[in-house]
Amino acid sequence: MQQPLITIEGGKPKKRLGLVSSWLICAIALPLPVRARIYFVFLVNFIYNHVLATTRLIISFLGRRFADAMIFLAYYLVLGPLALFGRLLRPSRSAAAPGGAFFSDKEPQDSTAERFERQY
Amino acid sequence: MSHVFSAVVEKQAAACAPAEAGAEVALLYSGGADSSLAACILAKSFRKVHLNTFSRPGFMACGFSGVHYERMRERFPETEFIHRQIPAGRFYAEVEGRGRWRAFGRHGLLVLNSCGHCKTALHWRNLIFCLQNGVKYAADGAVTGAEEFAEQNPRILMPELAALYAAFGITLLHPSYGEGLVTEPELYALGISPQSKIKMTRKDMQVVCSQQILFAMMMRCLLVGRDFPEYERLARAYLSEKLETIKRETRLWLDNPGAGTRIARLLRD
Repeated sequence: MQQPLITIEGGKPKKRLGLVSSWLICAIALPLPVRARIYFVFLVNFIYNHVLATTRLIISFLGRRFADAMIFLAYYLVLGPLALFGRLLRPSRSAAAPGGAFFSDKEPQDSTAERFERQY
Repeated sequence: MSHVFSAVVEKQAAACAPAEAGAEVALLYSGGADSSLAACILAKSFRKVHLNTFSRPGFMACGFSGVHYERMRERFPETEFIHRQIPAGRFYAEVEGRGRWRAFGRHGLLVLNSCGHCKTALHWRNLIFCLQNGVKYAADGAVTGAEEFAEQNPRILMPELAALYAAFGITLLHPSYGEGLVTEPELYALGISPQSKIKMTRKDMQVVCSQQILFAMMMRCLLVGRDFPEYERLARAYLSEKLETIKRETRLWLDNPGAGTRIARLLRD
């Protein structure tokens, strides 16, 4: 696939950085022999049209997906685990249903009959 | 087999028709939409169409140019298409490198006009091909709306290139260059390309150039403080000097066949 030229619109870069980079590339390319210039331009083309373009695509993709990703991460990696641990570590306030108090001491399962008889 | 050409394509084909029957034409062929449509238009009136794909360092995927060629052969069986790849790296180096510092003194940053050098060199190599094979017609895929490229700008190089070919008895044609002619839908309507929009897509199977970016950077620097017509004037003056050198060298080569001329050295290997 042929890459579009950068300056079809008339050549004038819209930002100062674009102009500085253009002068820099021209200044480097000017004294080079033809073959070395071809390889230099090949490298510049790779950086501009492939590395930078790919980086921009990735950043753009992440930018669009940022809110979704942050909600996902916040819920499943922060809020969810915190709620779970909070529930596991919370001491039980109910004698009848100590299900949430995972680490609290429990009576042995076979003590129910003895506890019933103890009242009398 | 009859082909349904649109009115604008018919007009272009009529304008490109050769005076004599059974003529051959040598087309600078990249495999893209513009040069492929040019080949189809030429197929209407030429017996043999040489599709010359030139390669040089900096070009990639030269093999892509064979995709539309196969379809055109099926679509226009009455026309003989001959597709070949011709190395032109030495001609490019000669155009770009010869007298570089002297030219820099006179023309400044225009010596970095890589696209101008490239097209000039490819036309030079195509001219040599025509002279070697007795082909009296040459063509390219120039289109309207690409004025930044010297060889597609009537105020920079188009008339100069035509004059270069004419100096050696060859007629240069621009089959795809016509007002209102949009190459991609026309090529799609002829059944050559798979979709009506192929430029800058993965279906755009043509030679890929990695060197255009230097031309773009040169344009950025040149157009600060200049308008486009001034750029056209400066580029024409610079590239015309290159064409004068080419004309002189080609004449020397024709007058001294087999001798150690510069072109003979460039053609070696």
